[in-house]
Amino acid sequence: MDLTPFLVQALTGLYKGSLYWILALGLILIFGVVRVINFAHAAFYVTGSYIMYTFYNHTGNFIISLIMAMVLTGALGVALEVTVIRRVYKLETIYQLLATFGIALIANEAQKLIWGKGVVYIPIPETLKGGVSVGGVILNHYMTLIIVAGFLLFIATILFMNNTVTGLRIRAVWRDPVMSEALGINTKLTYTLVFFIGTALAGLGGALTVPLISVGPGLADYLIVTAFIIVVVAGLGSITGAYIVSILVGVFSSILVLTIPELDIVVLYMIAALILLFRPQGLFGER
Amino acid sequence: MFLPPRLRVLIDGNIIALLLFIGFLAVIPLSGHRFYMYIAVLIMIFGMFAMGYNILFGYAGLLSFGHGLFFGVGAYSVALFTLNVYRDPLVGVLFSIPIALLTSILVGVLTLKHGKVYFAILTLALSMIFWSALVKLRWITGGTDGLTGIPKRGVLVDLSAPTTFYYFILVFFAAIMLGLYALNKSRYGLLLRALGANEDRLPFLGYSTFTLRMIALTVSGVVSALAGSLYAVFYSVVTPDVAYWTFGAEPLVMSLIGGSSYFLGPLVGALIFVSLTTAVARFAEYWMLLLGAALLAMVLFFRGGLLGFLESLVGGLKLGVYRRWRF
Amino acid sequence: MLSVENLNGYYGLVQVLFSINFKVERGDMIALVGSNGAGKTSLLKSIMNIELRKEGKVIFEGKDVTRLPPHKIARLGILYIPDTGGLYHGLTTLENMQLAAGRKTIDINRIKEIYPRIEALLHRPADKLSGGERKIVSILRSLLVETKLLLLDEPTEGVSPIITEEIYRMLKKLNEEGKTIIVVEPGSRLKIALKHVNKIGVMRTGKLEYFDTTEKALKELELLKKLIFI
Repeated sequence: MDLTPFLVQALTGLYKGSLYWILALGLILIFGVVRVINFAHAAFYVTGSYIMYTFYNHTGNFIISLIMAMVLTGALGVALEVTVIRRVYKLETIYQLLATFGIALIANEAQKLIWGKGVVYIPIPETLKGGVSVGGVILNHYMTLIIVAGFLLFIATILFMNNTVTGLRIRAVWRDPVMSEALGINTKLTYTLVFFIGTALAGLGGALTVPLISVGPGLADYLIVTAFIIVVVAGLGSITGAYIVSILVGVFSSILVLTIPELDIVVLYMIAALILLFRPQGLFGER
Repeated sequence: MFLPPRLRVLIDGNIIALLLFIGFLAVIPLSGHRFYMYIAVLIMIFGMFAMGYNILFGYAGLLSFGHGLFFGVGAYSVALFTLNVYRDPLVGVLFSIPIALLTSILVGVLTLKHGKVYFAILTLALSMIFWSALVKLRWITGGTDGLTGIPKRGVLVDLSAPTTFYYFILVFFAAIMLGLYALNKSRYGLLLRALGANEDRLPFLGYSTFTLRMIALTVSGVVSALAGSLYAVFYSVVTPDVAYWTFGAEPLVMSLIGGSSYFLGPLVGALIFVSLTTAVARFAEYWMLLLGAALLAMVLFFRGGLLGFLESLVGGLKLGVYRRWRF
Repeated sequence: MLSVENLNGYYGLVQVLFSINFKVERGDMIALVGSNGAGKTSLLKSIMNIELRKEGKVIFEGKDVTRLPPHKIARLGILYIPDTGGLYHGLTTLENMQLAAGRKTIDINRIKEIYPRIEALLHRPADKLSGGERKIVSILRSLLVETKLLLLDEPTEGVSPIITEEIYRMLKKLNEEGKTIIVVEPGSRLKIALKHVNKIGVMRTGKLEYFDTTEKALKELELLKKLIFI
């Protein structure tokens, strides 16, 4: 039996999983610290894609466009946090979900108005066009970059959270916002900061996606569900768990596409549902 | 009013308004206006969907993003049943009830044990499973094209005349509304409201949170599925769109517009929602934008919905009796 | 240094504190005693602007802090320690201390002066500490910030009599170093509190019914007991 197609799919899954991870990380940070399920998170991700597309078309510079996508998406996140999200912190969870859901609907439509209903994409940068051979399969440099970037982001996040004062403060607010205030930590500012980091990460992920996958309306709907499933299966709040599950979901779904293309998503969701049935706190969650 | 105490407990402004509304609906066909009948049918179908939804949302305090699943289950079971098993719309609609019951229990087992946040996420995920199954299982569901040719004229009943069909829907609508009113007035209604208000206290009173939530989900699921099956018969077509999560969020928006803590709130919301969507249908391309903005405005400024806003106006006049509109 | 004027506190619509007035001088060590639900915890939280809505005035070192957010009050040098100790589970003792210290380096020797056995605890997660150790570590945090006023909610709740004595000795030492301290204690700790503090207050159903020096209070012990226990 020729295993080459499986290897191709596994490698594809690795970079897809890395992109899922970048999306999921922002979602976890915002949920963990700000305690808001950000329904609009995938909409921010896609916003990053569109900003990348626009800037790349005007400047032709990949790096500048990438930075702009991150910063502008993050700025948009901060703008929303300050004007809308902040006002629902003290309300019931239900209203927080509703507010971010409303934002997601608005964002999706606004994107259609600004960038049209068609799909957009940009070419892979010249310098990254080549590839390396992995077991007889060519792995594109750009995909390698994403896989490496995802892994570095994982290491950097763990180091940042465990070894810096800001990371420590974020963890403190995550655990107990009231006590943190009493210790002199400005929780309001921390919330805004985390919202910036989370949405800027979403912008980064979205920007990295455009050269690989055509971005268009409907992508966010699909992505937010996948991100939710990753975060819930990993266990709300587990950063390491989210990285592992993201990669697993990427690889597994890619291989399922090859073996049972009719039911790939269905099977994936079923497995997720079964995991939750037997381990409600998720694979890496603590009770 | 001179009523015996027992009746006074059962009868309040809600039932009177409801009966008046049903009476109003019953005379609409006499006008002979096909367009009004069309809108009225949509209001009844979405009214049922929203009222069913609100049992979970307004009463039990559970936010579901997956009610497209139940609506879709109703629509597809009537379609598959009438096309493949027995060609009759009435039997088809009735057939969707046990299917919806089983689906609700399955969904409940999977989603109800983890708290409110998980419930919202998991119902969303389940409705997406269902949606992708509808799209992918082409040989059963017709894929994205859906199923066409759901009969209005069957072996037992013939609903092909618009007026006949109209009253067919009205009977289901009236039955469900009165049923929900009875539930609202019953002990279960009270317990469900207590559950939504303060879930921690109930176990002390000897009730299992899980069982009560399961009851709410089942009622909600079956009513939503019935709305879906009637919708399928109405249009003679079903497509996977009805199971998509943005469609499933519509009853949520209706409940919020009307006021989710009022018994008739979702129905009022459906009335406004359907009238608006039909009125702006010509430029409804960016409808979702308005929907999102409306949702945000509701959450930030009018959490009581339209009825809450009216009550605050009337409440300014210190007319305490209006409190009775709340469930 | 701290004066509370005509303070009313509310949880939602329910009033839990009723026109409370008292003054704290620099160097005081005060115990607020009362039964459960007397409003002692609410009073501390209300000073810090945590959870409650309040009317009235709180002045700290001549500055009106009534409407300041909690973190700003904390930065003025008031440290509030809840009855749980307020340590973060999952974070080690050292990390918990670092949080209080902010970007400053922690001077372990300074902590050892007050509590010599600290080193054994440094790398244990806070949830793996014993109840007494947790209380002690939470108090030691006051050494890392320039705390002027320490608000302690039941610092000896659920710990053995020996540890209780140790905690009070620690507090005494901190007090002698110039920190002003307010402890909240249940009626059962009246005796030990009277041994260490210089002023005592009694709270009952949301009101401060008694507030005077320990000297005076010892003479009116019967009245105090009546206020607390009946």
